[in-house]
Amino acid sequence: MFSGGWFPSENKFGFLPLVAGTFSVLSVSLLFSIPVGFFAALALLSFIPRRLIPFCMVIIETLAGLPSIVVGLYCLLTVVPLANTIFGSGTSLLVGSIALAIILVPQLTLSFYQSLELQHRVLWPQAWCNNLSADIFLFKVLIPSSVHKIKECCIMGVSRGLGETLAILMVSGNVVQLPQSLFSPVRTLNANIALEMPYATGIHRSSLFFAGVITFLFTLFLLVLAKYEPKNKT
Amino acid sequence: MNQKTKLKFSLLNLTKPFSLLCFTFVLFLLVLIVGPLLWHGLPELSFSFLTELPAFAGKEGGVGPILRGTILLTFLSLFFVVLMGLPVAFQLSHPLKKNWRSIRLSRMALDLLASTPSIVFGLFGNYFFVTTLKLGYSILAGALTLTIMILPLFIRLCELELSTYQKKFLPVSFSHGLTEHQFATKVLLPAASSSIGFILLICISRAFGETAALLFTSGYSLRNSGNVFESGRTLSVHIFDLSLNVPGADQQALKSSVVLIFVTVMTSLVARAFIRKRESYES
Amino acid sequence: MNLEIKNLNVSAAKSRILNNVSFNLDKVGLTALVGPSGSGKSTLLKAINGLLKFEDNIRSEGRIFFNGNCVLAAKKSVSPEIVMVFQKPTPFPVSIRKNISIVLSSLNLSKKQEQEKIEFSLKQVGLWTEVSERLGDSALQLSGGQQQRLCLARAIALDPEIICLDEPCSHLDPISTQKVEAILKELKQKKKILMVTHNLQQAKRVSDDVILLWNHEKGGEILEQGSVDRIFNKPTHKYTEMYVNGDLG
Repeated sequence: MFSGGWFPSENKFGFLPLVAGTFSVLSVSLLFSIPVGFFAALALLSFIPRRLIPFCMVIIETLAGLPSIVVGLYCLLTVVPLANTIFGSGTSLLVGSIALAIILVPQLTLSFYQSLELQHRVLWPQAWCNNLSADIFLFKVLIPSSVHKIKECCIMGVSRGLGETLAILMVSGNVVQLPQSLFSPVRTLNANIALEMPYATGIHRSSLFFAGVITFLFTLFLLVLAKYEPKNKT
Repeated sequence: MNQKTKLKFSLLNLTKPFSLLCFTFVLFLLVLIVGPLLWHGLPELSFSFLTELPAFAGKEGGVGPILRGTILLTFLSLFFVVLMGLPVAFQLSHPLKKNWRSIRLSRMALDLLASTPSIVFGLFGNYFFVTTLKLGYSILAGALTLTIMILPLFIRLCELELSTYQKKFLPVSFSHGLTEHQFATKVLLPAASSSIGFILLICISRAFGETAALLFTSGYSLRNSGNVFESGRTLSVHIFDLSLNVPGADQQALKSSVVLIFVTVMTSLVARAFIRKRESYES
Repeated sequence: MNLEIKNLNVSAAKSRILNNVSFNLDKVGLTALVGPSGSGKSTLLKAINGLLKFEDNIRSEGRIFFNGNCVLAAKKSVSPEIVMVFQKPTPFPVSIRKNISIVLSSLNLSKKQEQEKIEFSLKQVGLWTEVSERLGDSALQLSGGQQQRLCLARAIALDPEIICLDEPCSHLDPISTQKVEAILKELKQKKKILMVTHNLQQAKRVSDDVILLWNHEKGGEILEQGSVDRIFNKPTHKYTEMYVNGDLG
């Protein structure tokens, strides 16, 4: 099942290239979007003047609320030609990751901000009275005290990235293969379902459903991981 | 040792510039993305685009029937969502039942469903509504699929909303002899109605933006006459189809996405602004 | 028409809150429940109203009889005979008129009767002149004192046998407190009122009887019970004397 390639016409249904495609796109984009989202949330917490925050929130919420299909369209029309002239390959793993990152960064920023904000509001005045600087407060007090929440946000980000289908489909090339480099085209598990579902029949159709089951199981696993909290900590 | 602490602090000192950099990048994304879309899409947008029939597989004409189909589908599914979601949310947020095993289990199940990829819902909808219930590719099948996709989100948000009211007012109304039904309809619903309305706005925004779950449930048909048993595509499916399957329709796709952005962003912004305002008001 | 509490025990997860509490409430008047924090005054009121089921991990034994019916075991609420007013003003977030008409809805009154009841109860708490012009406004627009008086009016509208008040004035300023106390003085001519209060002066001012609860190691118990004069002037127990004279903390 995991060996061999995905050749529906020859009745070969190996999920390995698809799973590899999913995770390569996911990891590349998360490598970028988790740190950026996190630090943007920190900036929003500590370094942005308070009266600008409502304005900034409107912008971030606008971005977080963009339908993914719009981001896909944007990447298809602007990023793909750009990548074509720079790297010589248009639709590729890299552009797919960029599309996913554009979707994930604002959402991650928003969820990091929301999960840290309450704690920050309670603790920051005390820290300020004790003459702590903002950066020391963030890294020595705030982040250690809410590790679990941060972990949960990260994992929910992964799960959201895993569920993304069409924006990646539009720009990642959709060739079933193990990704060779950043610039080679890949096809993700979900994209495969969306592409082949309209004409699949028989065992092909059932294996597409099985692909759906795999995605679902990944989500389940991530959810358990996110909700699991070690109990010995006080 | 001394060297080490020094290094650490110098790294910490980078926090501010680095996080500000990240933040400007996020803000810049808006200009980068929405800017070009509006720049290319907005000038050509006219009111007739919203009402006209599409022509040449969408390459020309408007999005009239598509918009109508989208609205029909969205409100159909919202209707189901409210119908099924409110009683469940009421039960879930009931202070006496919150620790029941069945309630805890269903809360976990809802969490799982809320984070399930939409394409999985699409597959389920295709299997259950389209094939098993023999609805075929139709707006009704799409609406039902969308319903089960939005339902967990709606229930969880409503539960959060209702539980504060329940905790505060259930003992009072119990001691005044109100039955649970009277409490739910006369106290709880009027009290929470505005927040439920804004939760629905969030759901509308979600429904408008959804594509993957509808691809193989509501189908691709360009012309829907408003019959829920016929196939009809939504705005986001339309954009998807135009940009991938119809060469030379980029301009139309851009125009449609401007409409889509407008609806989704407006609804979610209004809802979130309301929720934020009330939070600051209460604290 | 009397309330009888027999050997009431209430315990939380680890500690006991009320231990073997028994008393009778058979005559009209205001009974003040006083005692230090943690002696289970509010818990006692909640038990009488059947509200203990809304607390987590609470077990209760013993019996509370109201007109011969057991309250503790009853699934149905005992109101409209027993009604509770809470410490914090808890008007429903609907209009002022609705606040009262909602609780009246179980009585199946006609429109006119309902209107009369609303007017009567609002007049009784002295709110009528203040709000008669704006009965349709949200109850949340009222001030804290007005909200608490609205809650009292809501309780009175049901014409209950017993009104339980859980520190009704602790969130109010002295002027609103004065108004509430005036209402209570009038109400106690006709109703049985049980009021929890931390304010001994208030107990002295408004109550007819006083029940002093004390937190022993085994939980709150009734230390002394009697008319207000006797408790304040001739206390039999030395703790009572210290407590009412303010010699403790």
